[in-house]
Amino acid sequence: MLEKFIRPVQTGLGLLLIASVLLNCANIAGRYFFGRSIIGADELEIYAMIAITFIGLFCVTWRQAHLRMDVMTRNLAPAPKLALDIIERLLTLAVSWLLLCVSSEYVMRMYQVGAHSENAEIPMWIPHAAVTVGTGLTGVVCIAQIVGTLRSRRRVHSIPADAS
Amino acid sequence: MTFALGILPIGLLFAGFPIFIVLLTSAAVALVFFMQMPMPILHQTLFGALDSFPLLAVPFFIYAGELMGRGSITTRIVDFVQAGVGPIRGSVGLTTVGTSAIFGAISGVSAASVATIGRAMLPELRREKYPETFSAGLITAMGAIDVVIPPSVPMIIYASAAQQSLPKLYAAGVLPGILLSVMIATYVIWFSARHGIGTGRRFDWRQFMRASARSAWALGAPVIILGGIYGGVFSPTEAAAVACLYAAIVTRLVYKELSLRDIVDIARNTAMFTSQILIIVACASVFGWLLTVNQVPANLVAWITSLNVSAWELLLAINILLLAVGCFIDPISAILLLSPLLVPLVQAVGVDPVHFGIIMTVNLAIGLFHPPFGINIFVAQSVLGLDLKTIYRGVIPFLLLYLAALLLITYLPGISLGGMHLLLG
Repeated sequence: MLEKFIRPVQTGLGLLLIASVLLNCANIAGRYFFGRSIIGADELEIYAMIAITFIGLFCVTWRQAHLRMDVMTRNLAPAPKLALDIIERLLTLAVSWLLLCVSSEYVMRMYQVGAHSENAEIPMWIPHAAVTVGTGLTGVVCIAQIVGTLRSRRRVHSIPADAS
Repeated sequence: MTFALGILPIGLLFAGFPIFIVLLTSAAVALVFFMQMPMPILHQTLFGALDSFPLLAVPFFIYAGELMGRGSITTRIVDFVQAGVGPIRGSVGLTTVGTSAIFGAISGVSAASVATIGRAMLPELRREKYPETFSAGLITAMGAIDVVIPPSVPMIIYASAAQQSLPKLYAAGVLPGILLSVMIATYVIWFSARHGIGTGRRFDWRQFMRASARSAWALGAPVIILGGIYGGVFSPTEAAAVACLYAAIVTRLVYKELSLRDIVDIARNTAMFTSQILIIVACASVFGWLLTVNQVPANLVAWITSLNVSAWELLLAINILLLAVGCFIDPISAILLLSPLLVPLVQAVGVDPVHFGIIMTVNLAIGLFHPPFGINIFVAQSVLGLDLKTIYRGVIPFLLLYLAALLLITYLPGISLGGMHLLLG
């Protein structure tokens, strides 16, 4: 179910990257050929990158593609490996929860204050919300992964019993 | 505090947890249990770390490299280099060196270079009867040159972490990249002569011109990137964006090899790669800030100063540390984890931080193919189907060459800084 949701999000983030490239090039063309720059283009590109990073975070977590130093744990026995997997997800869930609380409060304050970006005049709660949304979804992914791991464990244990 | 900023991150790192979780958990524990800081600082620092225009060069250069890596661009560059070095003994080995160096000036990601150039050159090297160990070592080690020759993604990360100028770092990386290429090329010629491989053939102007024409569009990318930056036309970020557009136009409209769907697919993969890297940049910034607030770098500097260590001794110790770290951690994470601690240290003994950035990059480039865990080794194993033992044996001579180059780059700052002064005045 999550897989169906993640692929369009990834495509959306890819399109956001392409839009940033085009905006950057348009800005250069504007500067050299028309003597004017697109106001706020840099800000828009930076906010796109921030969105790609934080919203992409839950996709990377779902694919378990985070950079890590796993040379020591790669060849562990299944039981300690499973324990480490679950601890990792619980830790990710705890940190995501903390960030979700902290950043949602921050975003609310931005919204109430009515802060805008300097050049593009974008309401600042929008780019900041990428952190909230990204960490919130990462938490959901962690819960789904923990549930999935526990279910598959139960299924593995129940197969011999059914067979007998 | 030692627990939150020392024991905990090291423990989590060795337990194989994602690096962003290692950094974020340590920072959260420090903030919640040991410091009286308002928590919104966590959000502010995470967001603020990425609120930087120069960092945009990371996704843009990765995207440009990925677009250029697809299709026939590599084979066109191979044909061009082969036509140029044909008369020299060991021309196929030299073509691998030359193609990797040119590819390094297009892409900043090492693993892509090993896969792309390896696929093109391994059959050629086999046809010329190079020993399998030599071919495996050459392809695996040459891939690492990608992170030394600009545009290099680890250099963008170092520039951001150490607050140094990216154009200066790129300019400083040019001569070390050439030095490495020349040293490896010399070894290839010597090896070929010793084993009687590839006698060389007559230079054919017509073939060279034909290959040049065929690869002209592919060779345009490094000209645009480096010419644009040092000609003062673009900032590095803008050069990266133009390189993306150029790569898309060349592969879609000129060579007609990529469909629009391919271009979007590559963007999707790049977005995921960007998230993998930049989330560590954001979390490392929180961790680095905590180290600074707790005066860890300042205390380290005071300690080193009290030991009366000279610059060369410190650099030797740091080189050994980085070589060890590079065996286990990818260059980007290593730069982010260690820059906040090491840059103040080397500055205290009078080492230029741009020079140090190049030392760090070359060092971590070695880690990319250093046995037993260098990532390029596993790329060569999985993509090229090479045996792990063959690769391990094959990389040893190249490892020694890189180490010799590292010593030269470390103790002759002119190699890095000379290039910088030459290009930037």
